[in-house]
Amino acid sequence: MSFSSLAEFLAMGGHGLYVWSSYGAAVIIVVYNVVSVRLRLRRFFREARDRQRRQPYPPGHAGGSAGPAAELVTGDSTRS
Amino acid sequence: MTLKELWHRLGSPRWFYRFSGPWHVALGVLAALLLTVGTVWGLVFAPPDYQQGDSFRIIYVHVPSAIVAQSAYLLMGAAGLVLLVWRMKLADMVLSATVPFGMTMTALALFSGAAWGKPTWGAWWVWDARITSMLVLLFLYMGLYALRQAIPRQETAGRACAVLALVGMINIPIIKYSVDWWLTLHQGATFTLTEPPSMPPQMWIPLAINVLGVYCLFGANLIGRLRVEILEREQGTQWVRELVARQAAGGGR
Repeated sequence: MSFSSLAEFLAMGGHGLYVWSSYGAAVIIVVYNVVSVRLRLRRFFREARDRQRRQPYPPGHAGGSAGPAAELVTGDSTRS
Repeated sequence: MTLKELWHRLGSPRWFYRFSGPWHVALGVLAALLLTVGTVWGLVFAPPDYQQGDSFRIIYVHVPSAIVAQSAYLLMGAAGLVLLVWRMKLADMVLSATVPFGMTMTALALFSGAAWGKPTWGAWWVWDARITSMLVLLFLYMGLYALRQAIPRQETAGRACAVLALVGMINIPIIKYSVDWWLTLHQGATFTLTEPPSMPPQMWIPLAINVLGVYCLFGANLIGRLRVEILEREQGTQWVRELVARQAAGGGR
């Protein structure tokens, strides 16, 4: 260990302001990057859940499931 | 799985979503471990520099953030090329998901550089080639962010960003070689492929650990952003609707 006391560690040989502001900025930026993704993911699931509760089937839906059914319809129309 | 198969599967956002889940967790855990070890080692156990004293400890923030900011830009350039040539959806998502991390890491490199320059050179800022080209990198990231916000149509926005990302690639070799081409206050590269680092192992090992850690963090963050981006863009599809329904019922993602 290169420091003999906590006070010495915090002082950083007189450069405490520069060292700690750099590490502080690093912590803020890392936390921002991690948290912003989590919040966006949580917001997506909340909003998508509400949307699906209001509208159990997607617009233009003709019965059955949305994706595969829509593909089937276009598939048939090109064949006929 | 061969590389060719992987390339084809990357064309499917749904496949990427399923495949990337475990990687997201693993890289996140690895990043937390590496960054903790590297930072504590660098702050507490590494010996002080014989000239700079303890202010040199800023290196453990400055070098990793500067390196990853440039690597993130390289990845965007590659994604831009893939988008323009193959029109891969995932490439467009990579192009937009890399911007926030790259931009904040460039800002961190500039800020920690200023905080290191003051006690070492006596100035927060000098208009030197390395520092100015890093400022240009920050403006490029900001430009990419603004450009995407400004164009409402997703496909047009993606292609415009791809072009800007590719044009901006010219700045990357300028950053890299700025300390060799011009007379500068900034010191040369710490890690090179040809020579061992000029500092003792107790100093550079924690730095190497933090560099690895920040790459893992970048990987985890990029995957996390890509996964949200995939869900948002594919929200009308059956598989996302089922996922949302499972999530609402209290199941996993």
